Amino acid sequence: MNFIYTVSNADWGHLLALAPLVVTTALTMLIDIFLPAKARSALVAVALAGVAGSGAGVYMLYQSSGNVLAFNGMITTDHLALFGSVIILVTTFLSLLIAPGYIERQGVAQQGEYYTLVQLAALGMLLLTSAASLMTIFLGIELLSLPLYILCAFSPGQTKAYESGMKYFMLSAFASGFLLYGMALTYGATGTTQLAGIQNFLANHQFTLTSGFGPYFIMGMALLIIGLSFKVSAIPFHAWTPDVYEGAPTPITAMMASGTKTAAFVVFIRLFTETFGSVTAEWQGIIWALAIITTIGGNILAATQTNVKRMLAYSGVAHAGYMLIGVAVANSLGTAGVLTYLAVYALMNTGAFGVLSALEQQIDTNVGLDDLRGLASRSPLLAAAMAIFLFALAGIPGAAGFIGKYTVFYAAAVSGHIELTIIGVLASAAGFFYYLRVIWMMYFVPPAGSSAESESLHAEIISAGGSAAAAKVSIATAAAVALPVGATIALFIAAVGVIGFGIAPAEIIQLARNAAGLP
Amino acid sequence: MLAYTPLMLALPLAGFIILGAGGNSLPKWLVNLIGCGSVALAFILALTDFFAYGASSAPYDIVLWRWVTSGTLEIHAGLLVDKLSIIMTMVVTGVGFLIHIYSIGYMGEDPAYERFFAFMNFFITAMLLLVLADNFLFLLIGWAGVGLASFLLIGFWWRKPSAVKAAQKAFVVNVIGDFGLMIAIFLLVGKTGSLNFTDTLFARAGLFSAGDQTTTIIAFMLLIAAAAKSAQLPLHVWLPDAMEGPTPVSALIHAATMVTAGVYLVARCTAIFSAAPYALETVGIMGGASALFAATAALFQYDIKRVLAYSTMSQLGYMFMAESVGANSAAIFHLTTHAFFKALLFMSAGAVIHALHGEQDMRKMGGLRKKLPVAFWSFLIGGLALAGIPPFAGFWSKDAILGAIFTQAGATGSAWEYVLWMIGVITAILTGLYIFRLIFVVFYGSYRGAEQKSSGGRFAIHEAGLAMTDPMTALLALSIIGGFDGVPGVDTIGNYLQSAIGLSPAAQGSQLVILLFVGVLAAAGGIFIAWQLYLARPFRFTPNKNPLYQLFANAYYIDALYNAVIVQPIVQLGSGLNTLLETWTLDGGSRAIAGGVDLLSRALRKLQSGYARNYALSIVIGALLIVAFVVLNH
Repeated sequence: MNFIYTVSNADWGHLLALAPLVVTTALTMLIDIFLPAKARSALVAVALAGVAGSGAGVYMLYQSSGNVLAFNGMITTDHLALFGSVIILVTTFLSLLIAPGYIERQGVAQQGEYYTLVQLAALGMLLLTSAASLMTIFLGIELLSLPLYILCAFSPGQTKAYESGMKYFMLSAFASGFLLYGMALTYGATGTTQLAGIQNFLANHQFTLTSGFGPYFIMGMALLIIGLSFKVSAIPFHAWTPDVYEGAPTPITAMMASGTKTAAFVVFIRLFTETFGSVTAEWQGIIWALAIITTIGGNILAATQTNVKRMLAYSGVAHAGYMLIGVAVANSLGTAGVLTYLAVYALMNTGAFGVLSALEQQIDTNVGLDDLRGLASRSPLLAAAMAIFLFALAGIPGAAGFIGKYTVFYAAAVSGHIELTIIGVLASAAGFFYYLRVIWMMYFVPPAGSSAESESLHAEIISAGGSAAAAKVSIATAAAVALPVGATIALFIAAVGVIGFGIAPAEIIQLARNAAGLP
Repeated sequence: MLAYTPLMLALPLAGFIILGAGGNSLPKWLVNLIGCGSVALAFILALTDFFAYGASSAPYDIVLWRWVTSGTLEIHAGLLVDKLSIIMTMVVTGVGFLIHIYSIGYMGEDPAYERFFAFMNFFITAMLLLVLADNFLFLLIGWAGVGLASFLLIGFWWRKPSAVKAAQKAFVVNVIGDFGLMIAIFLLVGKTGSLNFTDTLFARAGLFSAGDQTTTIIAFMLLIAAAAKSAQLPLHVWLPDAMEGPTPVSALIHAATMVTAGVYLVARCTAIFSAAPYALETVGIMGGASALFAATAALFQYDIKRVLAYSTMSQLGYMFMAESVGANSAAIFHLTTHAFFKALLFMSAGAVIHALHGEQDMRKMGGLRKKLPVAFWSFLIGGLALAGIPPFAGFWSKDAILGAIFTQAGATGSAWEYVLWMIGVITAILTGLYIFRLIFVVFYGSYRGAEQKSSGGRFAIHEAGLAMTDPMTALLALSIIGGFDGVPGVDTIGNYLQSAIGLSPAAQGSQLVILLFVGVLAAAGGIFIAWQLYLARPFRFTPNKNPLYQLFANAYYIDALYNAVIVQPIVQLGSGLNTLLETWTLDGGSRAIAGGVDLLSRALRKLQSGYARNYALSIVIGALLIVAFVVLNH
């Protein structure tokens, strides 16, 4: 078979969103060589500029009209891709803002490498959202995964970080195997790697489990689900999540938690809701079951955690479950719901991890529930920000997270899947508790051993045993949290966004609907 | 003037934000001014709405901004003013204002004073949102908001482990209610394609038709929400425990306003309930059972506030009974008078508790009539109003409910509705009994508590300050005159509400006279029994082994039952799952190996210990399940 394809000038235009980051990634490496060690934290500015440039690129692509496919159907710049790209860029931007203070405390000398890898991971995520062919999907997944393996293990001398990186690498490689095999089978069955071609093929060919291309396609599809479920941390493919999140540097955790999830969900939608849209019956049941297991299991597991980072990791599993409900619905309404959810999730989740990263500067280990005691009296603004993010994650009606849940559950309710709505509502109602427990710790339990211990009228009911336990104090916990400028800005942006989406979500919902091809 | 309604919410919200963000740096007088002033202004706005709306009958919709749009479904951040919401806002802000003033005195010495007012303002905002929302989603926001405020305020004294437990319990039950409301909302949007009241509740006739299964399920889901919020059987368990909160909280949230949200919801959703006869009947069963259950449970409580808590539950039961026979306006009428006299009772209970430095046990009270005259008279008037003695407020509203049930029973010939009426009368007897037991035991006889001495050596029991007694006097007046707007035959409030929630059935002529007479007789009978038992002859609190007494005093052991059947299994399951999933299966015991010396080798060894292999195993199992599913799917 002969294959000749000449890249046209128009094709290059579709890389507007990727190109700025490619340039700044290269620049970061170059400048790093010439910068003295002390000035290397300035590299964050280069990375931020790259993200901003890519953002501008996304905007220009959004304005332009015409053919969205480029490079012989390898890349697409449709609204779905652009919507996902914006979420990824915002997450990366916030993660970069949080990073300098954090890695300084961690004593990371290789700041140049850190920022380079972050940008490469972001590039992988962007490529994944724009992928219109099985080839580019795999390319994107590997491009985002390889830098993240290293970044997870980036805190020098920390066992948990090494463990995190290694574990992520091993299990991710394992899952990639499923994915690749699934792609190969799908290609074998349909004869093309382009999603549009596969969609076309499926619409025009009948198949069964035992005849023709049927067995290859069905197996391939099942393997694709497994590979992607790993990336979105659906149960039972979630087991890596808490360990990897816990050990990775917190800014990286923040980026992985929403960036990777966004990219993977965009692929989920592109592959299943769109490409396999004509054979819904083949896969809907699996996603349906995954959504239910993940929603319920994630909430149960999160409720039992005492380490806040692990709690957020499991809560991320639960949120993946809610989003899978939107995929299981298998229509544009569900897609719009997932996209809205991803947008609000990126802000509230990155915000929550941002607060944790600020706390870790002080406590020096992972944040446990007890470390948050009395945060409100020590650092009222930080506690208020955390409370905003947690209320949003809990999905208390009126908070941003509720908007995400509402759009997904609404899609399920009007698409004849009221059972998914009921399970989702039930699980999220049960989920209120573990978020609220953290808020309770911050606001109602005094910092260990502080003078507040004896301030209340009702102090007499505290027994002598209580104060003896409180005598075991570290001075560090009782002090106010020092917040670097970058983290302050990041938290401010996230908090304003979360409140804004809660109060006036109409615009974001509209954009998500457009991205899903709805009016 | 109606256009200024959003300010009614904005003012307490601003109060909450200011007091919450910077309250501890403000002087106390400014905290008082912001905390109480914002609610006072909200009350003035509610009054303005009342006059501006006048005799109109068209709901006045205020669209603030576009909130959620999905295709044809457009939901605005919007407020709806109609006669029902006007009555509700007046009760919430009016009684709310008085209780805020009272709190100045009651909470005066609390170190977290400004936080208390911040939460109270937050509650007022959420409650106003609940009653003013023009769509179900905003109603839900208010609904969850008042639950959150209740949680925060019950647990306000978080150093008491019992307060924390009570707050959590209230939250759990409230979340069950939120769940019901959310499911109802999603079913509703699936059925009607809209969530605005104008498109659903006030829409064309026939949108909700009797016999339609979805409508029935929606109604039952709304009923779960209403039962949880209004502490009706079997979701009542949180309310008695909620008395762990400061007394102004009990008065405002757990007597006058939040607990009536369920009554409001059922009245608001008349269109749905009237098309769901089974659900409406269940409203009656639930209300009747709760009224009787709570009245008997109140009989032998020792804690002065728990008596009032069960009494609240019982009175809310009356309101639901009324709603089940279509007497919405009678229910709302009782809601208003109950807000007056129950807030009054709680405030005077607070005055007693305040004077006795936190003592709530009736066994340690007695003879307080002379020492606390304002509290005594408040309790007496409030008690008479609650028992239903004319001409006090509760008499008229309780009579309106009993009259409506009896009339409706006559009209439909339903035996069940006669039973409901009987339950109402029996509960009225019990009401007179338990409230006058409380009054006789607390204010008559001789003082049984430990001697209260101040530093000067004088007997320290003294009346509360003006901040507490003034609002009590205001509510005392309302408990006397507050029922005259519902005098049978005239029924000003019923006629006023007709355009919003329909006219209640009411007894006429000689039947009316007989029913009034029965009502008075029941109340007086209850009071007479209380007099015989607790005042006419000397009595002592002695442990009583009578099984019926034990059953009532322990509120039918429902708490113990829930604990054994629901709470413990869940706790066990939770910790079991945690052990199973976290420690045993996934950890594979490898955490124990983490004692190595070299960091890198330790990390590597951990990875080789089967730890990651376990994770991969779960992936393989998942993969096998999925493959099995695909094959079996064909």
